Amino acid sequence: MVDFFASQERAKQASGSLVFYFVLGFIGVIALVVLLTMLLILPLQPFFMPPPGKWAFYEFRWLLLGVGLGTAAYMLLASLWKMHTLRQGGGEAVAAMLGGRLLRPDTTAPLERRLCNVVEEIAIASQTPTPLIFVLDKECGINAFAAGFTPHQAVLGITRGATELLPRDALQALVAHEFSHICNGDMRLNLRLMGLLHGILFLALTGYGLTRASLGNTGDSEGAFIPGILAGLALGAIGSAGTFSCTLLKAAVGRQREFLADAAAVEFTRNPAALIQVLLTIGGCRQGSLMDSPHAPLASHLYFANGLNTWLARKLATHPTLEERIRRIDPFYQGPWPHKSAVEETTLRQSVLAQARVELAGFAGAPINVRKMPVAIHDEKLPGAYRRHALALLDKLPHSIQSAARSGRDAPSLLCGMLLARSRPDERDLMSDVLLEYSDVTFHDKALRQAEILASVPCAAFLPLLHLILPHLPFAGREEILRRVKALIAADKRVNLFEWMLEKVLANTLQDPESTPQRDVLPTWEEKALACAMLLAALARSGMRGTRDAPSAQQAAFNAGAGVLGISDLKMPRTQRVRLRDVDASLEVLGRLAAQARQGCMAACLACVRHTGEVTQEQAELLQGIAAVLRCPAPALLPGQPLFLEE
Amino acid sequence: MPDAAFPLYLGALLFLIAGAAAVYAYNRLVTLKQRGLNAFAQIDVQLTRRHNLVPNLVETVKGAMKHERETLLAVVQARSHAMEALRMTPPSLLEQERLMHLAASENTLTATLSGLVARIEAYPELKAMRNTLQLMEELRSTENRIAFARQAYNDAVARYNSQRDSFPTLLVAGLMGFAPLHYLQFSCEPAN
Repeated sequence: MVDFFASQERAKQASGSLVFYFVLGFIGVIALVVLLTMLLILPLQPFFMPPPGKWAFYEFRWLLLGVGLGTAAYMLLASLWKMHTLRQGGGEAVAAMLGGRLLRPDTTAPLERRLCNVVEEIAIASQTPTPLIFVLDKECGINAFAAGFTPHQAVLGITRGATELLPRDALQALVAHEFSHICNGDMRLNLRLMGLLHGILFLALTGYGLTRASLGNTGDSEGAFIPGILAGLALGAIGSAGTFSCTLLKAAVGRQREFLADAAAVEFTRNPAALIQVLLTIGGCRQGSLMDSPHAPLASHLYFANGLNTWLARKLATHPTLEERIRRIDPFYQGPWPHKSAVEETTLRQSVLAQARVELAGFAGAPINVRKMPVAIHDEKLPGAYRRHALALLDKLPHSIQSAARSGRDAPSLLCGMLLARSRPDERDLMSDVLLEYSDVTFHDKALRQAEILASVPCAAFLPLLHLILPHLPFAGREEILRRVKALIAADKRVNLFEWMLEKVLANTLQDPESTPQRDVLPTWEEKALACAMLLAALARSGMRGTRDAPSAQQAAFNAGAGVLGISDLKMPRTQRVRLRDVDASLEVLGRLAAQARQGCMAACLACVRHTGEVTQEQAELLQGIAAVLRCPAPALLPGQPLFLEE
Repeated sequence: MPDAAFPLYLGALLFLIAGAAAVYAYNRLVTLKQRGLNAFAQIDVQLTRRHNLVPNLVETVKGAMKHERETLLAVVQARSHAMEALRMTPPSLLEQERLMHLAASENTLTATLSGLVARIEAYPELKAMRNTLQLMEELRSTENRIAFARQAYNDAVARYNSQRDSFPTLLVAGLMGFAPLHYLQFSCEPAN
C-alpha cells in the first residue's frame, strides 16, 4: 500500500504553493494597475522633477500608494461581497438546488439503510460529526458532493446512480473521499478562492464599464474621452488576464485537493482497491459521473469526479483524470484501466443488483425487486382510474389464473400460456412442440392447460395479468424463463405485437444484458427526432381507426406528442402501416439516450396516446414495450381505460 | 556594566524559552492523550452497539434454527464475556493486560458471530426475512464501525506516543508522568 500520509502531505504542499501563486496573482493585478497609473502620468512627469537622489515618481508617491491601496480595497470588497453571497446558501441550499432529497436517519429501505450506515461508519473513521445526507434521485451517474463551510454544517449529497451501482466497499470509498473534503476544509478554501477570483473579475468588468462610459453616445466621436477609453481597456485587459490565470490556478488547486481527498479516503478506509473500483466504475459507465441537473455547473468543484463534459470544463477541469488519480492511489497499479466499453452499464447495474440481492434479499428464491419493475396493481399511489380499470379487468380472470400469477411456481408457465393463448390457432401446435423441446412435460402441460383457460379471457386483461405476474417470477429461473419465452416467440417466424411487448418487458425486468442495445454513442439530434417521429406516428395510427376524420385526429395526436418533446415542426412519417421493425429501429436509437431524455420521449408518447382519447389494445401494448426498452416505469394505461377522469 | 549583567539576561532568556517549550509540550501531550481517550470512548460506544445487537439477532433466528443451539449458546456466552471485559476497561484504566483481555473476548465474539452468520446462510427462508436482512446489515455496519473506531484510536495512540517519545517532549513526559498508551488489536488471530 502506498503511504497515504506522505501523499496527503505532498498534495497539501502542492496546493499550498498553488494558493500562494494565486494570492501572488491577486497582488500582481494590483501592481499592474499601479504600473498603469505610472504610464498614464508619464507625460506629466517632466513637470514634477523629483528632488535629487530620489526616484523618478517621487512627487507622485502618495498618488501611487493611494491607487494601489484603493484598487486592493476595491477588489477585496468585491471579493468579500461575493463570499458573503456564496455563504448565504450553505450546504442544504446546494443540495436543494441539485434536487436532493434529505435521507431520514431511520429509513428502512435496504439501499438507503446501507448508505446511512456507510456514512456513519466513515464519520467514525474520520472523527467528524455525521453530516446530513441527501440523495439526488434524478441523477443516474455515479457522483457525490460535500457542501457547507464547516464540518458541523456539512451536508453530503450522493446520486442515485452511486447508491445503486456501487457495492458496499466502493460506496464507502466514495463517501470517504467526500468526508476528506469536509475534514480538509476544501469548501472553505474554494469559497475564498472564488471570492478572490470574483474580485479580479470585478476589476475587469469595471474597466470595460469605464470604456463604455468613455465612448459617450454611440457614433458621436465628439463625446468620446480617449484617455478614459484607453485606461478602461487597459484595466479590462489586466483584469481579464488576472482572471484567466487565476482561474487556471484555482482549477489546479482543486485538482490537488482531489488528490488529497483520495489519499485521505484511503487513510479512512485503508482500502485503496475500493476507491480504484469507484474510479473504474465511473470510467466504465456511459453516464459516468455526469450530472443531469441544469444547476450542476454551479457546484462542479464539489463533486467526486468531473460532473460536466464541455470543452471549457475539460480545459479547466476541477478534477484530475481518472487514470491520474488511480496512479496516485496505487503507483504499481497494472490495470484494467477505465474504458467506456470495458464495462457495459447494464451488465454492471445487473451485477451490482444481483450482488445487492445476494446481500440484501439473500437467496435465489427471493422475488425480483427491481426499481424498474412495472407498477404493482394494488399500489395506492397509482392513479385511481388505472387501478379501478385494472381491478375490473382482473375480475374477468378465473380464480385459478389469478392465484397462479401470484405463485412463483406457476407464474413462468403462465407466461408461456399467455403466449399460446394469444397466438393464431394454426400456430398453436407448432408452438406447443417447441415448448416441449425447451421444457419438461409437466411445464408444457401446465402451460397448455393455462392457455386453454386464458383463451376465453378478453385481450385487455392480459396486460394487468402480466403486471400481476412479473413481481412473482423467481430470480433464479430468469435465464430459463427468457429462453423458453424467446423460443415460443420465434416458433412461428412471425412476431405479433403481444409477443413483441412481452419479450421487451421481460428482457427489461429480468435484466438480460444481451437484449439491451450497445450504448456507446449518443444519437445525434436528427436521429433522435426521426426516431421519436416514428414512435409517435405508430402510436397515433394505432388509435382512432375507422372513423372518417381519423387522419386529422391522428395528426393532432402526433402533434401533441411533438409538443411535449418541444419540436413543433416534427414531420409525421407517411407510411400508414405500423411495422414493428421500424419501431425497434427507433427504440434502438432512443435507448442510447441519457435517462432524462428517455423519460422525455416516454412523456411524449403518453401525451400522444392521451390525445387520441381512448387507449386501444395496440397502443397499450406498444406503450408497455416502449417503456421497457426506454427503461422507464411502465405507464399506468390499459386498453379501454377511460382517460377523461382525474390524473 | 553590561558585561556583568549579560549572563543574567542570557540565563533568563534561556529559562523563558525552556519554560515556554515545556508548557507547549505539556499542552500538546494533554491534547493528544485526550484525543486518544476520546477515540477509545468511540470504540466503547460501538462495542456496546454490537453487544445490544446480538440478543435481537439471536431472538430473530432462534425459531428457525432449533438445531443450532450450540452456535447460539456460544454467541450469547461470548457476548456476556465481552460485556464483562468492556465493563472492566474504563477509559481511565487502559492497561496492557485489560486491553488484551478486551481484545481477546471481542475476538471470540467476532468468531462466534461469523460462525452464526455462516450457519444462517444455510437457512434460505430465514436469510430472506426482512428482519434478518436488516440485522445482518446492521451487524456488518457495526463490524465496520468497530474497525474504524479502532483504527482511529490506534492512529491517535501512534500520534501521542511518537510525540511523547520525541525530544524535548520526552523530558516533560518523563517529569509529569505521561505513560505511553497501548494499541488495541482486534483481529482473527488471538491476541498474544
